Amino acid sequence: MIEEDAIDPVDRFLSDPELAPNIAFVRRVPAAPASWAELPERLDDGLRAALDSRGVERLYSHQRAAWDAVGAGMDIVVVTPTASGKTLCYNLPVAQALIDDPEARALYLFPTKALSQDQQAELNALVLGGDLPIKAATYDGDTPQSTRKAARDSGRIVISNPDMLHSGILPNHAKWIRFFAGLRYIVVDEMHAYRGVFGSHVANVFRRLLRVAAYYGASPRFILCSATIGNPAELATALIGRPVVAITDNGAPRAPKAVVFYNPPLVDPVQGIRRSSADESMSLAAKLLASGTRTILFARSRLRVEILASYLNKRFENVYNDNNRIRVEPYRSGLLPNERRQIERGLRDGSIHGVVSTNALELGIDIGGLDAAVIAGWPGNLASFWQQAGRAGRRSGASMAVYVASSSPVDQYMIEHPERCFGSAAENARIDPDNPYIYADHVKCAAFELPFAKEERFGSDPGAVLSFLEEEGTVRLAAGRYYWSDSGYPAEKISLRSATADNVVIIDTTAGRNEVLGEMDRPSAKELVFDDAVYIHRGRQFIVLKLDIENRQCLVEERETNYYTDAVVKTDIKVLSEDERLGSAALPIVLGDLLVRSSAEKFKKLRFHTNENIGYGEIYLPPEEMQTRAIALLFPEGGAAGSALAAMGDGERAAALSAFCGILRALSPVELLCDKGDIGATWRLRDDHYAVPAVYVWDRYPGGTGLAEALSSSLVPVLEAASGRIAACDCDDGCPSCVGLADDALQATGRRKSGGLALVRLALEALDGSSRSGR
Amino acid sequence: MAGNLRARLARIREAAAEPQRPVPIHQASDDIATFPEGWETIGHGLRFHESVRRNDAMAPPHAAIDLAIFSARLSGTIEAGNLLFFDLETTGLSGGAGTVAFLAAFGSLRADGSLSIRQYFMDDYPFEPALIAAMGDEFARAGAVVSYNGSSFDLPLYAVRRTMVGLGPAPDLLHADALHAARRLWRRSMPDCSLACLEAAALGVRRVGDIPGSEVPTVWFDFLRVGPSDRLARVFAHNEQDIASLAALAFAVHDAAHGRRELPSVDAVGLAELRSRVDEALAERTLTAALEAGDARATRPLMRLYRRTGRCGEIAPLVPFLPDDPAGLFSKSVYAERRLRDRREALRLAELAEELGRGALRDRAARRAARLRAGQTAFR
Ligand SMILES: [Zn+2]
Repeated sequence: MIEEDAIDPVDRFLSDPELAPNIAFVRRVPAAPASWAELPERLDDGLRAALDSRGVERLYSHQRAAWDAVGAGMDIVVVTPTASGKTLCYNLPVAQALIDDPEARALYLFPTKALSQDQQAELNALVLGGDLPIKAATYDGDTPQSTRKAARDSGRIVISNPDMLHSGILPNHAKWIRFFAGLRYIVVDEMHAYRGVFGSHVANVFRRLLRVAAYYGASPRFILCSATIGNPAELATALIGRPVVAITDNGAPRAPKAVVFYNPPLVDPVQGIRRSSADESMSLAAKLLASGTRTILFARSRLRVEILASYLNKRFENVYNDNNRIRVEPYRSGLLPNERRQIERGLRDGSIHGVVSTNALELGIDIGGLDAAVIAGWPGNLASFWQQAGRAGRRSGASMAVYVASSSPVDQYMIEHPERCFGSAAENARIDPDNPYIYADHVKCAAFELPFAKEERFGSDPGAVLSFLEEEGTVRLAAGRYYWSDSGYPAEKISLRSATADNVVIIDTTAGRNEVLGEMDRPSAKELVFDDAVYIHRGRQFIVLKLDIENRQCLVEERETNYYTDAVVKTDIKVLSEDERLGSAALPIVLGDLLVRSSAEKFKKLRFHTNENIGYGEIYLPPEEMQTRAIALLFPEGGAAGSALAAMGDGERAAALSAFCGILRALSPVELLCDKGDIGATWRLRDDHYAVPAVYVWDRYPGGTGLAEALSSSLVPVLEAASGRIAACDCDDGCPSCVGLADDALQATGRRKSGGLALVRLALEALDGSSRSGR
Repeated sequence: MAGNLRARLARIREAAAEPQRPVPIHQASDDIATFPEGWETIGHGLRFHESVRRNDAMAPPHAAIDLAIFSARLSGTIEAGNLLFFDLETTGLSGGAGTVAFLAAFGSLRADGSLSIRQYFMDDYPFEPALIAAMGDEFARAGAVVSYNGSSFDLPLYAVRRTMVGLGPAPDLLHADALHAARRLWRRSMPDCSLACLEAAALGVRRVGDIPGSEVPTVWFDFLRVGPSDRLARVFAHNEQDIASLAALAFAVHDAAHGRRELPSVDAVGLAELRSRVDEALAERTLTAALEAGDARATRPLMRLYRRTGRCGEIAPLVPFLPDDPAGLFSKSVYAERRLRDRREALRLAELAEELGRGALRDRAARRAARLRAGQTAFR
């Protein structure tokens, strides 16, 4: 696709005079040779032949290491970049085990259905290539009733996803006797996807899986695969509840790639405002597409994806040369399966030249090699960054990944610290399998699956949940066992993916249509698709006619507008428990439960392109209330930070606290594997509960997913990043790239940036000794 | 975290403050505090009850019952006295591992022609193995079992329960699901084919004080928590009546299929299908009568019957009676062209078939219409 001229397209891009001044950093990642290892001696002849027919005569060193570790009976996690032959890491030992023992079975789990379809094709190629007697069967929501029984009875390898395991397979385990009795290996691909809420659920699904397997006398081993994260072994251990060996040395060769960091020019140095990363990314993508470079543009939100795709298509619509055939499609979560498949096909067959995506495409769906990836805004973590960058040039040849920073503090921090991308400083993934909501839900499911013996081990404290369930009448204690005693089927009410199982369905009612556009969880719906909100779906604009929370429906109608909408969310908090005191006397940090009540009472109408505020509207919805985990940072007068605050005037104190809170929330994701949206934060001049100035940071999932705990032990590096970012920021007195903007009253003090920085530095001094030694 | 899980759960529960399921008030005057009468304990936590009904609706115990009437996959006959009717009452409808049968009823004809109904009830979950074993003994004595919707619910559930109590896979059973035959007869005339609906319409059974099936699980849960009640007795009666009705319905369907009995609101085409499995001549008469009464749906089964019995010459004259659906119109177009030599009518029918049809049929109709049109212009 890239034109066959003498100049390397990467060089041409870098030397473009319009772009050059904004290129903050370029790293050409050179090609790397493979590190080889011999095929294992014990390998079955049929398998050897199958490999041979695919031209595999040797293994990469990490594939061999995986084979050896699995052979030694260990649970392993293989950490590999995109296109490094990870599937052989599990296919080889699994196929060998299934050949050795005709009763043996394996379960493959992928986080999405599309991935499992790719996997079945891959497996069939390996297995049928050598005519091996191993049948792989996909068992998910799309598997027709008529073939389910065959999959259950004769599938030696069952390919599924955690949701199906949770709601379809485990509750019906008695129909899977042979499968569970023979279960030897559980393969978990894309392990890094199992973090936060989803991971906390999946860890419990694994507890149930192992419990059912044990009932049938099986003790399967795990083979997990993950993209680069900071703590693969730790996450794997948390997920499966026992120690896991990590294999991290990648033996696969690498094609050359240029990684470019692009910082949009400052338009207002005083306010620290840069040109929008979305607009800049779009023009970069347009430039690349126009020159024939097949490009994928990653945006961070569904909304952005829709807006960018429609801009790009409009842009090429009016070009009356060869370019008018350029087609760009939006691809994001919330699309219906057939819409997705259409786009995937178009990318593969070349009828679609560019795609704008959210991280939905991160998960290894094979769309063929693209030439360039443009990443609009920091994707939140290194694993995502490298997966998105890896979308360009999967096979060979020069390719390019361009990271376009936004004005946000994390984005600017990354522009200043490109070495983080190439070093070993990946973020840590967290889960909390003992989140009381999640845990209680899975104890219920487990009780449905098999009666609980009174002393049975299952997670942290099954007895606590079971005695509640017994009082409620959901389980019955008889002869030392808890029996499920309810007519319901608990798994169907529990979604592994969202905070609440009750998703709102968005329905297009334009001109009598009655068409489902997508789904959204309830709390998000309240903030995004309230009455009169603008909802954008595949480049089309809709107005919300009615959000009917009770019936879980949102009726929309297609209508062109020149604005989009943004809810103004208000938050109240109440301390429920003080579970752990950390930090120091000068800066106590309290970990505990918090009640958070958020309500959206009005919304802003913002003009497209300019983001100019052109009006307000009212929202009439009941507030959302939740209990979650939080940390509170306290500033008593006895500490240096507290006494500095005490010495300030009221306005100045508020400005400093708000700035401190703003940068803390913004930069926490630098250390935690989470989105900014996964945590909430607020500050109090004089806290009702602690009677001193305080800053709260909480996990936005009910009951918490480990983020509050993780932050309590990562505060020092987060504060270090914060102090660096504020000091380096070009702005006058606080901007979206550092401590954020505030309302006029706080802004008027003129001391936000200095006050915030002082507070961050004093907090660091107060924590330095205590936290650092604890890390 | 384990330490404070209990406290956190308590807070969450307080906040949720979900309404508790009301505990039934035990002092109501019509409640009985003792276990319903007539039950004896036959094992640890397992109770047994037998009742005997004399009923004209039953077949003589030595009558030969054709199993094919209940399922086209079965063949051969079995003595009526060797049939075992059965039905389960369960804690839910999901069929998953947490759904349990707590009450099972079995019915069979005795030598004197009366119907014996035997019920087994477990006192609590831990006694399930005894209940499942008792069910296994009943099944082992049967020549064939007859259920109502057992193929998709009761038998798979029984198989799951055997696994759960460690009894291993169930031995193969000769099983006739009466629901399938009933659907053929009444699907078109009844709002649903539930046993309750059919016994009222076809057998004239009136249940008094019956408990709806949807309330059955709650009665069991309440029994576990507060002991026996009047409602439990009603569940027993419900379960017993299910067996009586199932047996009566099965024999009624069997007799109707043999032309020995008329049943109300029966679909003639469905009836002919059942009859064709045991008596082709009777099935033919049924279909011919339906056709004469104007039921075009009888045409195709009659054509199939002729083909099966080697009377191919009689098929073509039936074509004009086919219904005016796309396939019927297509056949009529062929008939008009070849038999009636009326190409214009053949074209009209082919075009109609193309317009109404879908997929491969529409394509074939389109090709046929195009050919007929071309032929027409060639003639002019
Ligand atoms: Zn700034």
